[in-house]
Amino acid sequence: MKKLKVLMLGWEYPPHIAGGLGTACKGLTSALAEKDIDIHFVVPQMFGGENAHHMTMTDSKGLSDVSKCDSDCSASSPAGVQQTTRVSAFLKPYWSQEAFQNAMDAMERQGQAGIPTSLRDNAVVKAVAEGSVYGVALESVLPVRIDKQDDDRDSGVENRYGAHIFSEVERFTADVVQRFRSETFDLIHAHDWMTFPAAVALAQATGKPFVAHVHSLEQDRSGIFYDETIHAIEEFGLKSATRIVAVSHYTKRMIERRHAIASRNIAVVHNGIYPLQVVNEYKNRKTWPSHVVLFLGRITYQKGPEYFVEAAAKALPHIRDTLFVMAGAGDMLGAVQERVKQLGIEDSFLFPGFVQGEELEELLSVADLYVMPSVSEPFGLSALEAVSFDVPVILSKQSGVSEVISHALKTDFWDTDRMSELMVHALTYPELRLEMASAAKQELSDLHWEVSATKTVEVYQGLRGH
Amino acid sequence: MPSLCLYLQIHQPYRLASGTSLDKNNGPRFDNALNEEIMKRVATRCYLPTTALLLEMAKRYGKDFSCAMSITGTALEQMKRYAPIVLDRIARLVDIGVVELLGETYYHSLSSLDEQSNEFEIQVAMHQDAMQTIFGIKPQVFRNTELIYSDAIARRVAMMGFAGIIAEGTPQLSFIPSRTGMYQAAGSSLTVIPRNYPLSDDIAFRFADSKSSLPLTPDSYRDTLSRWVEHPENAITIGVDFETFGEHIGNSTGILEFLRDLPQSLLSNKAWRFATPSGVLIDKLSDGEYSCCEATSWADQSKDISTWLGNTMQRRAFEAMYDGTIQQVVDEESWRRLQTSDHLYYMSTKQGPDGDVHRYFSPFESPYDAFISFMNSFRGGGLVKDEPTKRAS
Repeated sequence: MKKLKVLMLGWEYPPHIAGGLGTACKGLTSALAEKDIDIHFVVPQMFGGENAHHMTMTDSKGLSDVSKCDSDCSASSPAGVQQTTRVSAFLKPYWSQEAFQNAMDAMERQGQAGIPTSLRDNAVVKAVAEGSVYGVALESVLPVRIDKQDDDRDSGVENRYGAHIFSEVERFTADVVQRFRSETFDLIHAHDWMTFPAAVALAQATGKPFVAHVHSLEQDRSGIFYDETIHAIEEFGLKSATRIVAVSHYTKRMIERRHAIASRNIAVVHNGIYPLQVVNEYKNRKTWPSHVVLFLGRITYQKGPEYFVEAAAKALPHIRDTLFVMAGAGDMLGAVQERVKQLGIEDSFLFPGFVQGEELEELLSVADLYVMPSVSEPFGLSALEAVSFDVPVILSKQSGVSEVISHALKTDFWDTDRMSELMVHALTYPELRLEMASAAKQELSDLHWEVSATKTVEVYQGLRGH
Repeated sequence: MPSLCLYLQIHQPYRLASGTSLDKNNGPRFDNALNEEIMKRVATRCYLPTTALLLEMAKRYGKDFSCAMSITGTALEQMKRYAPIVLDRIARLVDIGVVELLGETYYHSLSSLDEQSNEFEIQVAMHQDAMQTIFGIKPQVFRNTELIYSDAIARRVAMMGFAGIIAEGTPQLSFIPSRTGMYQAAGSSLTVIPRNYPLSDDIAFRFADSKSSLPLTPDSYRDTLSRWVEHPENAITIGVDFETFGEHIGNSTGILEFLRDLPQSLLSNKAWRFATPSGVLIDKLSDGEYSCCEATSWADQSKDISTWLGNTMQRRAFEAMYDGTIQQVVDEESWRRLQTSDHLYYMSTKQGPDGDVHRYFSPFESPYDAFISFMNSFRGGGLVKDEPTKRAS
């Protein structure tokens, strides 16, 4: 079968990163390459040292290709080095609030505030609106939104992203279209708003499908002080996309809500690293007990639910104010619930049934401990999921996943004494949970990306016929 | 003529049994069977053949060969119980003047890092007593647990009457000019004898490395040593675990033959001489002043104390031992055995090559099991009156 060729548009790449986007792009592209996806990754500029031997990487001028080579060869290209001089030091699309405030203060002190880059003067927007540059008439929401913007819009907001972010986006868009409109590839995959105009323009010029990948939304990054222009570019991109990928169910719902986009066009592909911000959103939704211990899976013999219940009963006298959540359905559910009643611990148990999507994300966000007491388990993907949410795990030695995670507590499934003791110790010492969770996450990073890549390939395959 | 100071460390901890029990526990449970097994195994593979070799070398080279040894109290006790011949041989080596014994904490502890108590001084005195009782000597030079060193520790060691201290020769030391290769500890009368770690690692980590293009021979090692000599007055200190010879590196690699023939290579043409740490102190003056605020050590690649206090579990365990517990101790002997740095070492979550070394030494399935078993020792009131687990959040 012919290799699928993806033109991927990104904004940064390790080691030169301002936020998590570059790290995510590295993790995802590495895992996609393992799945025989041919990736051409384009960023506005390269700095040298990008270790991207699994794909072709170019800066948008195409002057410093790093093609299937190890680090540092881009640095040897004088043209590539020259490009770096054009970049503003403030080109940081994901500044934290704090970093933003500091930079703002510094600029104010230096009297540099107020370098307005009115989007109305932005050549890309003009070109896109008029359809003049690429010979493509783009009927889109973007110019409408832009027309609403006045010159007196708060220029400070845009400085949060770097003083020249919009002109950089503009340059990137023009360069990408010019360089790649005649290239052969099967689809365009663009990460976050900065790359959306380029993706839309290129999709229009080539007729190729365009996947818009949302790592975070402007409104979620910036709260009530969000930038309307960015919001508009984001919406323009998302509405023009063939398919949208969101990094969580939470993000998916935010896309639906903030941009009024139908959920059926949004696929959820979790990153190897689950965003902490979203975890905190879930945690703040309602009051949970001091500790939440999670069982996740079908309530059937194979999953060992009765061992979970017996262990919980033994642990409870030592760890009061703990809620044991058994999420799942199955033929043993009735019997398990009966046993919980018989033990008189039903107040400490919650049976939400089969959970998925946001409900699942919420449980994984609030869980302090995940227990997999499986009698036999070929792998145990949900343990992996727990780890990606920073939840420490107790695994039965009989689960396949226990061979993969060394940073976990392990027990035989029938040893409910030990299982209960491990539960108590894990809930007693936050240090134990913290160290286990972070080391396991590091350990499983590659595996997490493998899962993300599988889902991404499914999205690619679904594009056929577009 | 440059001097080579060879220093060998002997240590065995009292390993804890893996224990997670919530009710039955009443203080720490040490794994006596495992400790006996390991002491006997290491005696067979290392302590017996290597001490026999040192006695043979004493005959062969006479006074021309000497070295330093440091033996922890926990190793002494277990040797006495399970391999007393080794102790007899070491005593003979000390008697005939081939081996100089160093001072350290009896329990190979991190008590030097607890600034609130005088537990450090107590344990050093306990070790001095043991040296006096068993070997009839008073150590002049100090070696802290895994060479943990700082200005503050140097001051405490000087106060106890030691003349010198062995510290890790971290790269920062090489920037301080010194004719002899020794330094004056900032703010105290102590002489700092730095361990040369690249040369030490050549033996401890690289001897058996099959990938190494050049196998280490006494002659090739002498040539490497000589390249480090900048001045004829230089003293170079090589420090490795005694267990390197036969236990960490198997006898089949030829490591004992290497040790046996090393003096011959070095002494020929009077190129080198062997010196003990106190001998070095008498012969040579210390030079530049060495100041070190953040503690250094010989452990891991980072050469600091992150080996034992690098993660939150380790810091919690350290607190449980010292902060507010000292006045509460019921079972002093067990509490001191728990202070042995190895227990915290097993809790390290470092990955990569450092992590491999940690796992090699750990009797536990994982750092988390090590942490639980350690913290569980405090449960039940057998060890301390007010168990620190009550402070859990």
